Amino acid sequence: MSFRTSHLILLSLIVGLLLAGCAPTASPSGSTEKATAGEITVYTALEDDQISKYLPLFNQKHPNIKVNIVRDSTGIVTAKLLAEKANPQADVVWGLAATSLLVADKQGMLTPYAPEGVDKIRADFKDSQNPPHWVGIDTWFSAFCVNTKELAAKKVPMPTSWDDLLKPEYKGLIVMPNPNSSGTGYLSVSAILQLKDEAEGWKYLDKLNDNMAVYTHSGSKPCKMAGAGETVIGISFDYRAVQQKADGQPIEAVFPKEGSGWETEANALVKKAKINPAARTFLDWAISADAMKAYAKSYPITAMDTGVAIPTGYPADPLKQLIKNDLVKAAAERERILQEWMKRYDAKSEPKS
Amino acid sequence: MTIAYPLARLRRIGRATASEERLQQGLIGLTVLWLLIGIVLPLAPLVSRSLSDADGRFVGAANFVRYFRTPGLAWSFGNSLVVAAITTVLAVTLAFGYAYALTRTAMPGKGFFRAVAMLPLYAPSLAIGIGLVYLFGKKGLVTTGFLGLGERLLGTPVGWDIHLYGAVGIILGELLYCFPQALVILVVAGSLTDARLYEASHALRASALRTLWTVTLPSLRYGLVSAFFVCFTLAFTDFGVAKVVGGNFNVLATDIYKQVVGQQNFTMGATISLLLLTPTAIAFILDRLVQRKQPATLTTRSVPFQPKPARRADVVGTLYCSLIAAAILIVIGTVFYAAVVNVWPYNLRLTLRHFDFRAVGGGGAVAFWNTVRMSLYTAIVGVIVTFGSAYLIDKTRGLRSLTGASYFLSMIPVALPGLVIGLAYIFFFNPRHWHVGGLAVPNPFNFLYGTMAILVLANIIHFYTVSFMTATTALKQLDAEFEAVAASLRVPFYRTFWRVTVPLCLPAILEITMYYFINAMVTVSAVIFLYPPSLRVASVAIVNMDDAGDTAAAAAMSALLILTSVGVRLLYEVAARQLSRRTQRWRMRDA
Amino acid sequence: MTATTPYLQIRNISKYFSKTAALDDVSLEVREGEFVFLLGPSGCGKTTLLRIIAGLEEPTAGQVIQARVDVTKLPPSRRDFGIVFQSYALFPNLTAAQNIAYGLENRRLPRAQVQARVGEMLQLVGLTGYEARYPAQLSGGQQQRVALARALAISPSLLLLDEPLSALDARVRARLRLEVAALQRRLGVTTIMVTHDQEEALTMADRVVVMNRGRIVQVGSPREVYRAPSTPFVADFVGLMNFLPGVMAAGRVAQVRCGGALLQVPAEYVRGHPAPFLAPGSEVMVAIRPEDVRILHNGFDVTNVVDTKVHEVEFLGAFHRLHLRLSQPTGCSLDLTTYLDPGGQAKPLHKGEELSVHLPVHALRVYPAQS
Repeated sequence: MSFRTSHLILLSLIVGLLLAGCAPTASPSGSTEKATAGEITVYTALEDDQISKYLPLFNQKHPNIKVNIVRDSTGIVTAKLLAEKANPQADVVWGLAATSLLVADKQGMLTPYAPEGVDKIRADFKDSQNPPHWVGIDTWFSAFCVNTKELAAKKVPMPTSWDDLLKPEYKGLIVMPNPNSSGTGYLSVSAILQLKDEAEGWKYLDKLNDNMAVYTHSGSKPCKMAGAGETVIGISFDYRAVQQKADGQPIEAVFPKEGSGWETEANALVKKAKINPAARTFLDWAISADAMKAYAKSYPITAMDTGVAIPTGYPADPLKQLIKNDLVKAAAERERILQEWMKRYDAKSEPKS
Repeated sequence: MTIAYPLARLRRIGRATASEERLQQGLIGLTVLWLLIGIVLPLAPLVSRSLSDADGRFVGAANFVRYFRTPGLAWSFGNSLVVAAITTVLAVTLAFGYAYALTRTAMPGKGFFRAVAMLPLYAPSLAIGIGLVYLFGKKGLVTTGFLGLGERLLGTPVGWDIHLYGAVGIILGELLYCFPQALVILVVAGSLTDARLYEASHALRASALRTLWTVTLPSLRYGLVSAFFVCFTLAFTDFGVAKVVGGNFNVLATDIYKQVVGQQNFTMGATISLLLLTPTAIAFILDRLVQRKQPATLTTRSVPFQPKPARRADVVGTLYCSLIAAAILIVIGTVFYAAVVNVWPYNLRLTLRHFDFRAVGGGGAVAFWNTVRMSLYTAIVGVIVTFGSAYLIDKTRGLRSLTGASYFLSMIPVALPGLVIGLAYIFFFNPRHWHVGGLAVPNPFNFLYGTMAILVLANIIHFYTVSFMTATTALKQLDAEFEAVAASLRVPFYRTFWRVTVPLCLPAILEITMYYFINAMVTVSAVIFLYPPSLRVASVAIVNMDDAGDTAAAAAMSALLILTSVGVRLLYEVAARQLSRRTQRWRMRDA
Repeated sequence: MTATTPYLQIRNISKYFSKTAALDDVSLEVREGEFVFLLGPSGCGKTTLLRIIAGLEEPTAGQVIQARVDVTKLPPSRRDFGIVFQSYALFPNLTAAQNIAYGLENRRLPRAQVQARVGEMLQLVGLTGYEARYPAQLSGGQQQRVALARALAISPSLLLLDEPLSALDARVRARLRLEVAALQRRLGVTTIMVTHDQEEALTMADRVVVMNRGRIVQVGSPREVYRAPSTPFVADFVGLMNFLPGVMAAGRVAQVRCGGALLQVPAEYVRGHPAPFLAPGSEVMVAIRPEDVRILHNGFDVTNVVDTKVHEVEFLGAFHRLHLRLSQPTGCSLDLTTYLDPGGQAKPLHKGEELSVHLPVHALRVYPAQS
């Protein structure tokens, strides 16, 4: 095949795909058709151990709907979602960072849908349009997982703030997630850049990079590495730190003094030529009281008041720990910040970022 | 004189068998077709992708230029080459010694050493990485002096930190991964030496070193070249080990993965794929050029070599093999140990809780059973297709161009890395329409995408060449005149195939089946881009678990895969022995 | 079909492998029931010709007509023949009986009929009682007979044998020669056998086709081929032959170059219109079979006597083979082989002894000198 024909083939391929994507999007906006049986594909960035607690609740209620879970880190799910724009594979997005959903929405990939009970969701946890394009379920925020045994062995003090992490004694002892693949990574970088101004923020990240052992693929891995002693300090997120401590690992959950970056996990209906009614059934369940109670056992901040007590290990007033975070701004700048970050630090990244 | 051969008789015979000829020719046509669809056609969109930008515009070599100008990426190419080169030299050298001990000394326990050396073949390369993490990682057994046990016993810290993450870890892991592959080749080559050459050398009072130089090495020359090629290709393209212990040390295989899965950048993925393909293709061509010159080292008059006991050589051989076998057993054993330790390294109580995969990613037990099913299908469909193709290529009379083309196509897959196959399959099978010269052609194979069938196809192609060569070698050992005799008896070829060819080749057929099964069980690279969410597989689950930091669960899944593969192999050995007792009676000389 | 129409006609067959000719314009006719041998050294094209007759190779040019049907383009499965290969190609995983039944089972014959035919064939080749043996459990001669029975079981009109005896040891081979020939005559099946063993061809054949370098050089009865070889090649390949270089002199006389003896040659060479190579002054080869050389013990009142010296005496059990040397007067020498004393009763000769031998006129053949 000559270069020229291959070029033509490819060009027409892309054009064809785009056309296919734009073709019949017949499903009337606002349709509320449901189903009690079927098979749906759900993209999610929820933790595996969370899914294993949440999903059985749905299966009990809708035993005839088969749910195929595609779970990966936030950045991966986002990239996959965007890459499949012309021919979406997912029916539903469940528990993906709102900033990612904002990007997808901007590309016209979401179908507005108001799930049953959406009125009970706090206003700042859902899209302001009606019907909303996305609906949040909970909030997670950055936390350090510090291995107390290794800390003692290395005879270094417990870090309590972002600034502490720059101290030379932590050199090579810190692991954090790569923001390109990990939502947790991104909210931490975003938090630094918002806490300080942007120029100062990058300077801070440059210095942090000097202390960094490796950037991991997922947001939970730094914490798990800390739990196994493979690193001393893992920059991760609240649930992971609290969970592993509760599991008996020598982990201390540290919530940095300056405050934590945070992000809302949200659900959305993917725009497809033919929307599977079971997808709506799933979205309804995903903000039902049952589901919310389950979320509340993982996270102290949920999109709906559930009456579930704040799980042990969290700050008494978790809202105070959160920095002021502009989700829309974070979404708009996501691409630029990630590019910049990659240019500066990617060489240190663990495979797959 | 009576007219015993009227025309009518010949005509009647003719009508009965004409369709059979067409059938065979049709089948060889199908063989070419499936090889084209499985191998060649999917490579076309891969190449065109690498020469286009994200919107499909032709950009020539721009992607390659960009690759080499991106510092984080460009290093990987050199990294991959260096790591693969070092691994290859080490693996072939170590395997040479091991093969020498197995074929040229009379050391005891050869069966044991042979079996242990093969163990890594039954493990995903990720598992080897995981074993290394638990041995040499920050909290590894060796690094911490057996978790402080050494210090308690000896009163002084005895840990040894080899700085696993990076080149050291990758080379160690690839070494274990490649070692058995090199060993298999060298042992076969080693057992093909004519004993008379050694007798001659001995009679001429040549020193041991001179015998090594003039008899052993020349007879192993072709085996060595093949071993170098196989090891280089494996080490250069493997992704499992680098994924687990690579740390900040990027290599091409992990780069492709990063680009495709991490950033969904298929264009760059295609570009790096071609970079991954180039050295393996060159190595492949060199290997074929060398192998073409190979004379038959074993004539019918050759005498098989029977090593005689030689105290010093046997002791050295035993020690050497014990060391390597111990290294292999320790790494694999560590995987099993890590799988049952409660919280490494803080709570060493034994538990089976890591085998409950519900709280970790990857699809858990379902993924495991999917893998077993996939491997089973790969084995069954694979052996039928492979043996059938090899048979048609070897036995079809005439149609030289088609059989020649099929043979050539059958050689290609050995040079194709699994990641490249996976990516090429996405480009080829995923679109609903192919666009050829501005025309939208409905993709007749689109229905395969996201099914078990495409996973099976990818696996068959990935492991095709070795299976094909096994089948061809077995077929070539049969009397070339069987088909001529059958034709003269007017028995259709498929009947002879079934009644004679298949029974005679049964050992090879079973070996191919096994080869497909084991490799499909442990492969990750060919399926990682292709598996649909409804069909997750165990090896990919290990990747996901490792990504999420659930290393213990990853170790548990690895252990499960190893146990299954080894178990199936053992069952196979028992069954094959039973079967051969019943079906291979004709091999016995006595009535 | 009349008796004069040959059963098999090979018309101008050529076969090229890349550029070399394996067969070069070969034509041959075989009558029904005939036992024809293709004889020649390895690489002469005899096996290629057999494979073309079977349809296992396609000729580059020419035609094969079998029973008046042009079968040139037909695949083997659509022709009518049975074949036995040098390797026998017995199916090793089938018993002798199963091998013989192989071609019968495909014809939807009742099982009993197949059994009966197999029994008949086993009896024919003298292997009754061996039906349950696998090929590996049979001797070479037994395997060969099973292969023959398998080929004959389907009653082919043409039997092709590709060096079927050459893998056997000498004693078995000699016995099987007779058996196969007798079997062929009994069944009357047209048979073509390829061999490089001239003794085999001479003892078994109705007609021998001698081939060399892709061409047929002589066709004739064993006697014709042996007694009147048409070329030095045939003379040398079939049996042993002495060649003495010489020059045609006037009349019926050739002068042997070495030793200067004058030899009278048979009248047929000079009667009528002799071939150009017999013109006086032409260089020729005078040939004589060893067994035709007569040793003269006393009185040589005959023509064609040459003086020789014993060069070597080879003891061969039943007789001696003498290597004689014509050497007069200069250093040039010529070997002449003859047999001495069947039964070994005469007094032994020794190296260096002088001996006069008689070369009978009727036993001499003359060929043009080879370039």
